[in-house]
Amino acid sequence: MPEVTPMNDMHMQKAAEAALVAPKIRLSNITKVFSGVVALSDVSVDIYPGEVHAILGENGAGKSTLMNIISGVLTPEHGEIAFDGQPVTPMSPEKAAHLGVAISYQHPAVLDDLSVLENLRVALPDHVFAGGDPAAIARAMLDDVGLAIPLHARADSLTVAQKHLLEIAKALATRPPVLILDEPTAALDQDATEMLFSRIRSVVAKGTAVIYITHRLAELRQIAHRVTVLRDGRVEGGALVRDVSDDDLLEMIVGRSLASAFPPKCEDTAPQINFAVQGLSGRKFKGIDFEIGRGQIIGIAGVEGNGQAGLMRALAGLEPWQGEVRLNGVALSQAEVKKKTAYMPSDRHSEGIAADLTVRENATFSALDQFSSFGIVSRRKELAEVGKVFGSLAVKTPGLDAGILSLSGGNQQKVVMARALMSRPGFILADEPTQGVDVGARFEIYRILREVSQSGTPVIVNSSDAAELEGLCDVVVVMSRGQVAQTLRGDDVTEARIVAAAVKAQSHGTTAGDAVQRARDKGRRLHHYLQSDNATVAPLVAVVVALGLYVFSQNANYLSAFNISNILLLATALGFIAMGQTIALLIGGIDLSVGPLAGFLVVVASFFINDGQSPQTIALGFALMVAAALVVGAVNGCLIRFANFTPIAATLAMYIGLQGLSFVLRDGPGGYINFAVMDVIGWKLGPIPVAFIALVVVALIAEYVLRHSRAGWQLRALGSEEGAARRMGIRVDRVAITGYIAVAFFTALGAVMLMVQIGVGDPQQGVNYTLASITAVVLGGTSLRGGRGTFVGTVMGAVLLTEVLNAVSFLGLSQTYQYVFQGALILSAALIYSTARSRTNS
Amino acid sequence: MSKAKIMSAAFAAATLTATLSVTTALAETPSWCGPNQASLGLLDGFGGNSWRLVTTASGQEEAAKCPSITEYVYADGQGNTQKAISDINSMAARGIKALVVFGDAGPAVLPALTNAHRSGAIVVPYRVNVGGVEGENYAKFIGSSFVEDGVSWGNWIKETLPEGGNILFLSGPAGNSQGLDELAGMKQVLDDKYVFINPEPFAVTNWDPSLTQQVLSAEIAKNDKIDVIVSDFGPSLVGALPVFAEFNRSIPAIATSDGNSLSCFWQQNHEANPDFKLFTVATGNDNVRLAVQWAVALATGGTPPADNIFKAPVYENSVTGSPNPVTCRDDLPGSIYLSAEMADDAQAKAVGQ
Repeated sequence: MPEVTPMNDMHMQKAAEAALVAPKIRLSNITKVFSGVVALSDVSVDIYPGEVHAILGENGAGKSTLMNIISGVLTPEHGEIAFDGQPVTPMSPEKAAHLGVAISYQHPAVLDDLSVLENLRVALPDHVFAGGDPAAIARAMLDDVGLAIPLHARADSLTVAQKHLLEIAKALATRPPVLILDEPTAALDQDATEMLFSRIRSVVAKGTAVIYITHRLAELRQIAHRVTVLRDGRVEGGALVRDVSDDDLLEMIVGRSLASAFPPKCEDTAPQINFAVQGLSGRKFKGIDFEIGRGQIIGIAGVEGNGQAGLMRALAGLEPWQGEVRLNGVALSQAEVKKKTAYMPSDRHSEGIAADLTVRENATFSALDQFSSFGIVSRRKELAEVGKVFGSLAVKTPGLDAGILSLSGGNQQKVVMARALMSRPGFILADEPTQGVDVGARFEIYRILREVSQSGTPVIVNSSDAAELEGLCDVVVVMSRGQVAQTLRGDDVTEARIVAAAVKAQSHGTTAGDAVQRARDKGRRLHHYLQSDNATVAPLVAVVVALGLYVFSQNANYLSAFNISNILLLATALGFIAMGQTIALLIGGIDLSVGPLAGFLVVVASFFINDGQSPQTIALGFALMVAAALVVGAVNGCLIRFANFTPIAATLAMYIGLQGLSFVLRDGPGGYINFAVMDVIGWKLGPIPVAFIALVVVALIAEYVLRHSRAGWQLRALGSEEGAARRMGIRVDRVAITGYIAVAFFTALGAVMLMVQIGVGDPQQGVNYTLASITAVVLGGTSLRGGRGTFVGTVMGAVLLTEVLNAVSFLGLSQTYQYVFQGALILSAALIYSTARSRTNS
Repeated sequence: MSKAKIMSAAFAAATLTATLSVTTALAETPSWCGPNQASLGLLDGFGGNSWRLVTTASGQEEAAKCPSITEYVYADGQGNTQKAISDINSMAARGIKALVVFGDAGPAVLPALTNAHRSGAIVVPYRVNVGGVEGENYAKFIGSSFVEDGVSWGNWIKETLPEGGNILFLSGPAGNSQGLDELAGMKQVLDDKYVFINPEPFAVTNWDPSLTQQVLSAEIAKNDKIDVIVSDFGPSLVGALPVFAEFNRSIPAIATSDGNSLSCFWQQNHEANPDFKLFTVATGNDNVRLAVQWAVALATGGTPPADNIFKAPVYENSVTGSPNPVTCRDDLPGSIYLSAEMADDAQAKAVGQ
């Protein structure tokens, strides 16, 4: 067949094309190996401008690896990438971006905690927004993909389809010469897909080279000019789409001949039904029907992510479901399903085995009841049973009490099977039973599953390997978009039919259908304000004012200049330190060392900023405070990013270290601070300390930077979702370390205020600020989970906390009230904020 | 009945023509209580142990002796310096006239005290050295003669162990001025026959009974020979002393401050422990009374007391029985202080038992 060019002929064909137009990207002999497994082997592909080049292949064929090599995320072991005829080695994400490679990821790199506009601005280079109103430019980008959502809506309120469109809008925005789209239509409905195709056609018309990764043959026909098929990391063939038939493509995708070592299938064509599922629906699938006869094995197939995993987990009793499950004619409740099932998870390491237990313990821990009387396990019974089952499964183990991880993948899987069998289950679910299992063990596993099935226990196998399903199963249910696309039986159970059913399936589900036109502008302003990070400021101000007025009504001195200035001065120290803590929480971390750092810096200051010191020495004291803080921040950041400390561990170590250092410098209070310096810093305009005005100004500036500058977006991007931030090209390590340095810098500002407050170098002071700062930040409305926060809210939180301290003793309330008051405030703040957030999410 | 009271009673009888209220006032009112009305605040840096509870109750009892004090308020800094500073600020802002302050945080509360002093309040810090200068940062500092306590302990150690010996000295938080003063007092009378085996300058206990127990147990295990234990918070030792029995050693001599639980412990154990001799100074709950007297005198226009410094008297001596033998009241809670002026059952009530 001339349409299909085997590998050897490909260069001929390309040569013919190249005479007309030079390739935009040429990949030559690319080989990529992951810890011994070859992901790509000797792959050569040319990508031409003004064309859509589809990359087709099964799961694990190497499509995503190839894309990551083009975008510089992965570096190949061998081979060369050339752009416009110029070799680029090595490729890096920065270089790829510079050369104009834009990517729309299969899992959108969209940050939930940022607004739509901020998502665009943090991901795209500044020049995109130069020369115009950024909002208008962003609006145009969204209109371009038909995305009618408010720019200030938070991304977490978007549907999956909207996020995909946003991801595509980002990729299109730079008008890139190379556009990579990875399964862009997975979540889109028919209309959105059409719209996307028309956009792709128009950029292609302008000369963009589009690489389109998909597993849907139908789409290929609509949009692609050229196709390259990958299988097992090799180029299986390439052709112009118009020259190749579906059948040819399928053959290229599936390729290999079936291994003959499968056990014989069930001979009975109409066996007695022992397991049936009807109208089963769950989180990611619906309306599933199938039945299994005695001696049959049923396979679940489909392209990954079409609901198979959810179905398996539901049948394992791990996720809720509706519908009917019958075992031997008896309908089972959810609880009964959970009890009857024996689930062999696909993610063996995290769900299948307990890595710290021995082989024997791993085999028996779910079946211990059977070896025990009155709760005491009979070791003799246990060993006898394990010996018997291991014998029949041919488990190769150095000993029953060896660690499970000392076994090979195949033998680990057999132990998992042994456990499943020993618990005498009603039915067996095997999720990817041969993943990571060597060939020899693989066929033993097939044999065991077949024996189990023959003995009358229904077996359900989920596998992404169509060849395996063909060889093993009597019935195969092919799923697409959470529904049964086709049920294959008998002679129809072939690899080609399975793959064809999976990739040809066109049933566009309705789940994502209504996505595009949703966010309406009813009560939009209020809604957006409530959604914004600063929504907490107004209620906090109200509480501060109300509390102030109440205490004032009890004692008129409360609003005296003396009292107001005292409250604000105390709040200033806490406010600065809490602003630092806000940054730590924003980037998804925490800094426990702020309190001792503030104390330590005052101790340092107490050696320089004394009465009778020269102005130079005093200036040196301030400089040393800042310098010491920056060093501490950098050490915190490096411990967390490079030494793999958790933020809590790193900053707790720093907490203790700084405390010790303070005591080394001074074993008791000493070194009185210069009075003139204290007077200057504590200077007041009427009742308002100038330092507090400075705090407010700094908070407003910080707030502006957080919302309207790249630095601010990057901080929040890191805290929102580090992986997505990384894919957007944000240098996450640098952002995080800079963040911790900023925390320490704000702490240094707070330390200056603490110095004025206590006026002496005392190694015991300051530690309270760690907890107080976290309290103020949480009261202010910053999320402990990262990504969302507000400096203005934090300052209000600090003012409120200080006011509460003052009010309790002003009102002469007993000390119990202080705790009650503070506790109630924090509890109600946490409750209100979290419910407000869950509302805006729903 | 004291001589002064008999005299004032006679004086009152002689002026029966005056109104009854005046009579009572004259009969009861101490000289430090002046005619001007004032409010009084008692501020603690940390109010969470039995000693503080008895001390606070003593301060309140003392203030109640003066009818010119129209309002009495209390605040507990809860060991948090920022809370203590806030308390001082807000009391001054409320217009409380006299502030008696236990400045646990030391000089760190000095700026707040100065602030309150400048706003016109009568500020009297006591017991813990807060630095600063009388008249400039506060009205009056009422210290305690911790050096003298150290001298008393030193003298008794010399009598009990004339040949010298190993001393284990425990005090409160690291670097606290009380412990340093006591050490200075001991060093005045003890020569180098007496060896301090604790880390310099003292083993840190934060005056926290559970930490004391840990520290003392470790020291007992570490040191084969401890001839005398010195502590400025006697009752906190009780938890760890049984550790000696586990090593088959006698509890050594102890020089410390008094407390009912310690005295009762001695009574039960001294026979089995031949080396267990006990010497206590009064624990100083009454320090607060002198501070209250000063604050009230300055705020109400009364006559200030003669003393500037509270001198804790020697209280118990198990060797000589003078001035008192070891006194245990096992019908009362262990956490009261028989050396204090406050009535025993009132103390029991103050500590909530």
